[in-house]
Amino acid sequence: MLASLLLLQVPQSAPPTLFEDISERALPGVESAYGGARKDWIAEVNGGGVLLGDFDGDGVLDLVLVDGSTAEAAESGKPARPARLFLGKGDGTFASGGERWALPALRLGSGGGTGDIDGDGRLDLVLTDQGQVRVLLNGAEGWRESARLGEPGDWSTSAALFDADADGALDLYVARYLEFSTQFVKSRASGACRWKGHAVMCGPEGLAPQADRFYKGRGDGTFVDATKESGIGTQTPSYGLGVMALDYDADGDTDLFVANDSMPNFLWENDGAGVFREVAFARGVSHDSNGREMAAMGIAAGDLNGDLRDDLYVTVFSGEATPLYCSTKSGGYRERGMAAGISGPSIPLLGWGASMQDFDLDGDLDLAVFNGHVYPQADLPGTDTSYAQRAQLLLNDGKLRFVEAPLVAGTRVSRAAAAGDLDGDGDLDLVATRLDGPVDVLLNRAVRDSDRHHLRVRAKLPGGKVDALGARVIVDACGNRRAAEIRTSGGYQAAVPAEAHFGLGACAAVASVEVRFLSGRSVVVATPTVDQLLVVVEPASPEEGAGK
Amino acid sequence: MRGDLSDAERAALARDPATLPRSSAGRWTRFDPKALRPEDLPPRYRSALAALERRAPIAALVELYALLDETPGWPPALHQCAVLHFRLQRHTDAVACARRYLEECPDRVGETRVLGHALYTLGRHGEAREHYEAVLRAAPRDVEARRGLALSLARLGETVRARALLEEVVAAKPTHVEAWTWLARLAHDDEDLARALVAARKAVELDAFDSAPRFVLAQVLQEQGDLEAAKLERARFEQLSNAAARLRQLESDEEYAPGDPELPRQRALVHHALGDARRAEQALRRWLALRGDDLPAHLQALDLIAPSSAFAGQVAARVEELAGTDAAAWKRLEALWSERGDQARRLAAGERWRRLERGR
Repeated sequence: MLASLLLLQVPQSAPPTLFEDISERALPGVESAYGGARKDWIAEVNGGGVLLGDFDGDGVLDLVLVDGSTAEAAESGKPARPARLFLGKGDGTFASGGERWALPALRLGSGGGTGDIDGDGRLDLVLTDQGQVRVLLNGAEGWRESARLGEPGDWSTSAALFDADADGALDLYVARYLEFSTQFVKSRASGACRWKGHAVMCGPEGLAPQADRFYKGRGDGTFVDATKESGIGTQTPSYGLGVMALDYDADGDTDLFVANDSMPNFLWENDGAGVFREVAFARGVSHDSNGREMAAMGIAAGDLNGDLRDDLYVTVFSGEATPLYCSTKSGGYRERGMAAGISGPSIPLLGWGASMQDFDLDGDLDLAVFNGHVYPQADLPGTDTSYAQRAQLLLNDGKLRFVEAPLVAGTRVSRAAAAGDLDGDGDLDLVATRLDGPVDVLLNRAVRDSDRHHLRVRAKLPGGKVDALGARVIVDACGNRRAAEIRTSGGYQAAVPAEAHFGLGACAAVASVEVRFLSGRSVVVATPTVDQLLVVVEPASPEEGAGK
Repeated sequence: MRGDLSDAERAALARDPATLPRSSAGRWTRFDPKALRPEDLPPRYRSALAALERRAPIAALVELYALLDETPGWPPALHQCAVLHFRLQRHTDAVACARRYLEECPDRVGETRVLGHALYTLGRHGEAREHYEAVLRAAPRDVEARRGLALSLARLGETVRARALLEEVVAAKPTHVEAWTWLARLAHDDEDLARALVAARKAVELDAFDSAPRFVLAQVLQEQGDLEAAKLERARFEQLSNAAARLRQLESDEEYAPGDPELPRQRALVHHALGDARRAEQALRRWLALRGDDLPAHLQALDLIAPSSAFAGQVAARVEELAGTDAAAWKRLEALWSERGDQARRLAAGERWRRLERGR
């Protein structure tokens, strides 16, 4: 098809240079599978999830893949393939976790979240599913399911573990999608639903959306449904796909941004006590700049413009311009995708997992975006797009203009993605799932191929065992101040390591690193060495000094 | 949705316009469509126009492709192909047809703003800009090409020039809602809230049912701290936005199933619910055209039309023709003619339904 050729040709003229595709040796023979080959149902097109974290505590990132089954198998009660944990070897490759790390079979798994739910220093898991949410505690003997949340008919997509009320116990936001059953949703084969003249699977339009849920954590692995009390219950049920925990207004508590499919996005503003109000419209992030609701999927967040507040990049459907919401002085956002040069090239693409990080370590944030259509029929004539699509590396020129560079050769039907330093060399690597097919593992060569510097920062709660999710890290390096937040929510059905990463370019002298914890306490580390992992521990009392 | 396409229609949609045969070199270079008399039009082209008249774009495409196979490169057919593909949201094909048209008659660039529109919609804003500039060199008064150039420049981040062009657009066509909306949007982006407010209000005044300017207006009012007004505008925006999403889907479905009467009926209901009588009437006209002699459809339409409108009179006159022995229809007509103050017809209708009732 002409459209496919165009998608392939335009930005793929040069071979990828920043990332090395090590998929074949990183996860030999490992493939993700989600739904039947024909994709007759909407329940078979969103793909599985990817969760990156150090589950065995060896300092190396491990990987959990959550995926699948088919709509018919799930409906008949046949369990899906269990979620799979792979232990990182420290060089970007992985080995099966084996029996010790065996995870349960889900119904038609979506993704999940990570965090130390019971405060024992081990990284725990939440798995989302077309079924109940599973809470799995990481113990000395293996996983222990401590709770099942929601109802069997739920379809949860993304989850964010975060501390809504700064009580030290992690709470949970679960984005949910829609009511689905092969009993009442028409299949593609019925011809009832068309897109550009082609028969396609039906939905989400016309199907009943499910309202998102908020659970208050007790700190022991159990949760209480606090959707109503938290204010989250005031929402209009929407097709929730992505979620990102972030302190959007930099007021010291954690807010939430939710990407909704074909409906306005949510921005939940936290009052500090875990009570939220929805402010997406008022802050300018509910719609695109023309006031149209988008089919939003994934989210990437980071301080692009150096005002110490997170900006937002939201992946959307083909035919829609990807928005880049940049924070403004008035506390809201303006959509700057046009000025940033990203809206036009994104139009033929349908985006999912995205990450906003300084991939080339030049001192500004870049974007990695994984794309792929929901309709196999996108390869038919007249669609202006294609099923398999290129992944994008959008490099920031330092003035908030992005130039696309090849991320990985070829095209694929990508879904969830997560960034993390798999080989511990200081630059950020990528893992991305495909709807069906091999898992992409891309090793970043920025450190190896340049003399650029970096700094990684972890923040820990008093005692030094538990990640301080929600802490904000502010680095002052060579006259530039930039902020990053400690979080594990990875946007679309993904979890990322609880670590702030800063590319420093040629700057080899950092003046200070300040970590602001949710408790209101902060720690300043003066003139830390660059090219290292800095661990900052929250003092137990205001008088106590900082630990390093 | 009734979306059954004929084999010929399916084949037309599956065809890549790049495979259309080429004319002998230079055959149409001097082609002047103004020199064409109606009787000179090839039969297939007339069939295509007839299909368009009955709002069947894919059927029109079938005829155009057949014509281009018979008479390679015939310019009006290529041009119409581009327009049709754009309408069907098949923008890559629209680009291919428009480029072929320009290959055949390179001097007619002034007629090809649709190529700019297609490139713009595909996100190829740099190419769209270049093409709009070429169109404007040939046709400097083309307001839509000027609008397209402005939007392309805005997408490329050249907002100062974009704004200047949009000012030219509204100077040439003061009722251009989209240009006012974009002026509002660009001013809002620049934090010039006062200017954004004026432009957004102008756009809303021009089209009270367009959600896009209402969105900017609500945002500006919110940022200015006029929270009560912002709340009202936002509520109206949300209503319009939901309706717009539904209408987009219905309109898109209708292109592929032009004979399905349910689609214009649904459109009419959406417009009616918003209070948009003009667009509701357009949709109802389409629906009734597809329903033919269907009396219940005409009666239902009457419930969606302002009784005093000319259209209500036309529909009522048609109901009179169709009502026959349907007492309820005559009773409805009596009420309508009463509302319109047409006493003679009111009396006639009233007498008719009473007689029919008595005769039961």
